[in-house]
Amino acid sequence: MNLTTHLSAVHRHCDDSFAALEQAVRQQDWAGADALCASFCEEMAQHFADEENRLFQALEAATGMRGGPTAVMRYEHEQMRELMEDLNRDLLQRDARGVAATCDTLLVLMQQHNMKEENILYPMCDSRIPDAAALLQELRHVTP
Amino acid sequence: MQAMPSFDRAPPLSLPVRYFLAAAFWLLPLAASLLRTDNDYPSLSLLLPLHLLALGVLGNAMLGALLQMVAVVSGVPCLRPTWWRLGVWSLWQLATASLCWGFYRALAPPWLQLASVLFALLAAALSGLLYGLWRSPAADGSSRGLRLALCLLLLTLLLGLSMLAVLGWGLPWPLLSLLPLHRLAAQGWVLLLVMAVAQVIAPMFLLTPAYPGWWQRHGATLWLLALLAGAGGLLWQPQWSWWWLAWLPLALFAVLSLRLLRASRRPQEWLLPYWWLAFSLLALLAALLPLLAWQGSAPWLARALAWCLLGGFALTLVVGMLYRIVPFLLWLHLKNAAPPRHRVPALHAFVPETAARHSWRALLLLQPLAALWVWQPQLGWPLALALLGLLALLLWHFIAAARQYRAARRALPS
Repeated sequence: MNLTTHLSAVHRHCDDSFAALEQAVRQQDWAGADALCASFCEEMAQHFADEENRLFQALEAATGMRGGPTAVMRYEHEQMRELMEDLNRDLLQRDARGVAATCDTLLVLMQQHNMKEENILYPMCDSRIPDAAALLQELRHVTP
Repeated sequence: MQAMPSFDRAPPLSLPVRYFLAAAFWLLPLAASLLRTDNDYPSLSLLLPLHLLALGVLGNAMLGALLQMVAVVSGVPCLRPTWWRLGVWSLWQLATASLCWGFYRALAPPWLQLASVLFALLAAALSGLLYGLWRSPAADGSSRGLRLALCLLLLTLLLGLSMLAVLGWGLPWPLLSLLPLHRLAAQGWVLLLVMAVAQVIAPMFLLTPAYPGWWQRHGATLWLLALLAGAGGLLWQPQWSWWWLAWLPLALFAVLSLRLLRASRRPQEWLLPYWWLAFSLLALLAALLPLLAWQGSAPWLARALAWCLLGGFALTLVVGMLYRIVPFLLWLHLKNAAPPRHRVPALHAFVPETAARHSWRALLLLQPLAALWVWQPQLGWPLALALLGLLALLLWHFIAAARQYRAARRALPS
């Protein structure tokens, strides 16, 4: 296993939580949706923290680049955090249409972001970060 | 040497939108051209709508999407957006118009000569894009597929240019050998692009399981080898009718995709019916292909195969893609213009789900009308009317989306 396979698996795990949340809202299972939304947002927050505080910093240290791809990824994380706040707000108001609309927006933003990471950034981390294996061990505290 | 990814240099909003708008407007001459199809093959009255559809409608939409995709999937920066937005876009429209007008005027050489010059310039521009894609650090299956697809697009253009050299400039090249090769390469480009895109879109946006690993690694190569075998058969053993076997990977792709769609964890997703319809038509195409062995070049079969691939499969995917990509691009540009933590309208506010479902029904209606045209080409007018209906729906929905974007943009705090 390398960084790409591990972090891509984390993405798929978040996708599973996202699909379960959408399913609960569609079935009007609000209590279930609350719990699923909380765990989805927590997984996403942990994943963002892992990337911003460890992965991106290691890549920036290895390549000497500041800004560029990692800055764009951080900016998109911020946009997703805002959408997750909107999602929680819609859920609190039991607004099924609002949740569906926010989920749809979040899904597209999340997946185009994942594409960039899985296709380019993670493979770059695997090849450029000198001690990628040690970093992988640190990041594996979240088991997908 | 590999380039660094440049996610911060994605194309501006106006670049893909311009191609998408042009794609919609090419439906108008396409509809008109269907009114004069005769029952021959090969026939200019069939080549005209085919090229209007392939270059005008699908070519514009796929090129717009490709320019956006290479930035996202492969991290290739858009270095000269104005050149792509104005130069290449204008060249594409003029080249398509010259070629189709040349077909309409019974292969009038001046128009074909003009088309050949314009398409040669386009081939040079696309070679630059291919160079950028080749230098991209992305090594995943979909990026490899995009590179191969672009190679086949260039090959299609070169074979088309060779035929224009015969028809427009009078060079003594074997036209009847070039024609099926050009057709194979064009089919190859469409399929390779869809294969590359489907590997990413299906699991990520439709939440299906991933395509099997062996397909992700070898699918594009398998298809390419099949095309080469088909081309070899056409060149060296033209009396044998086994070259349609080259299409077996296509049947495999259709079956694999339909199986994945059944396992989608987003059953409410409006894009899903688009993909069902598209891949069902691809399966139908795969089922029709063996008929080539004993029906030869029967005109009805040529129309049926062309419609299934371009009007059925590709057009359905392209329209679905427009409903997914346009609202997202509008949302993204609005979000980037808004101050931090300002809530901007969701995607549904730009194009409601019902709008996408209406257009899907219009596409569904096109299929029996296309079957009528395949059976009786003089009955092209119901299909033409349905295409005009589709154009009206697209314009109505996307003009409403643009208005919503402008209103939301004006409402942003300064």
